[in-house]
Amino acid sequence: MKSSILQLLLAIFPSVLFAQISENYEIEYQVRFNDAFDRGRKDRLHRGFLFIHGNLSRFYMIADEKYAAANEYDHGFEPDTNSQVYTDQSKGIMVAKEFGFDGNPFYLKDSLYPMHWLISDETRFIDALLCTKATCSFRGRKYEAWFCSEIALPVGPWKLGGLPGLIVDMKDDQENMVMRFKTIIKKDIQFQYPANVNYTMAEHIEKLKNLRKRLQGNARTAGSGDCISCQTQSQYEFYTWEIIPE
Amino acid sequence: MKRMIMAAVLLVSTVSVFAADVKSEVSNDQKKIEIKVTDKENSECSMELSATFGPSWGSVKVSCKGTAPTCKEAISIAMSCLNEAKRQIMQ
Repeated sequence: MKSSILQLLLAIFPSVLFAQISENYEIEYQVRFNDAFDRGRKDRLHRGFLFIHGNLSRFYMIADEKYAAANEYDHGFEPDTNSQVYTDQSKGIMVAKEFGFDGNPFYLKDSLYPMHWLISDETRFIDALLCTKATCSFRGRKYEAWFCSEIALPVGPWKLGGLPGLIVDMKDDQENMVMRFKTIIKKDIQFQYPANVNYTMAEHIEKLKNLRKRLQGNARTAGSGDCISCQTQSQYEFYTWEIIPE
Repeated sequence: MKRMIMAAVLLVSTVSVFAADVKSEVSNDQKKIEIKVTDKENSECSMELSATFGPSWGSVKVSCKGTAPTCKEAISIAMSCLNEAKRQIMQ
């Protein structure tokens, strides 16, 4: 059924097959993300949307099931739309909307597709599309992607892209993040590209490294107040999808 | 035998203090309590609280352990530690 829908879409929009980046598209992915990555499993389904408007693109995800706090001490949260990533292909810039531990949003500028892909000879059909396998390491995790050169768009979900065709299927090696192509339609969706973003990913990584050092420096065993035999000890564990280097 | 009875008595009494001081019970690993009997007359209570901050794809988990002669003090210390950690993270 899905295959027939795709064939129908390609028949209606034959230019998709040989698309130039000047065209406008809406691409939808089905996403499974494990909130408890590196700790266990707490998978949730999301819908991922990738809008292409000429040289600009916007990706974001909406959870099917809202994040539920584990208990009163869980200050975790989830915005209505998450993992927002914008690209400007003509300038080679990527901008991501992130959220701090305090819940405040901010934008940061990142390199456009800094990962180094290894394109293999392995191919398979995904629906009616002949796709090629590529792998890469990116910010501490290993990814496998299947791109389709028949859809000549060098984009993909989240921060992945830069391959000679649309990424239609991707996952990390632990299957914490799995994204599967659902549909592509020619559609002109306007969006506001975040302008004048100067805060860089490199600066953000430094900031997180400093916070980690500061917190771990405070982690100690010490006496407390008037109680001589009382002691406190704290421990901090960081769980970031893009791993902060030591 | 006498030592074991003493440990059991202390366990029951300190857990009662604990139960009276905690507003809601959390049965998962976010909250841990350990009671250690060091000798016949002295005992100490360790209380560990954990809290998570940030979105699911980029969070920090803080665990604070307070150790004190009574569980009431241990809870108070662990809470203070957690509040201090929260203050630093929210800066």
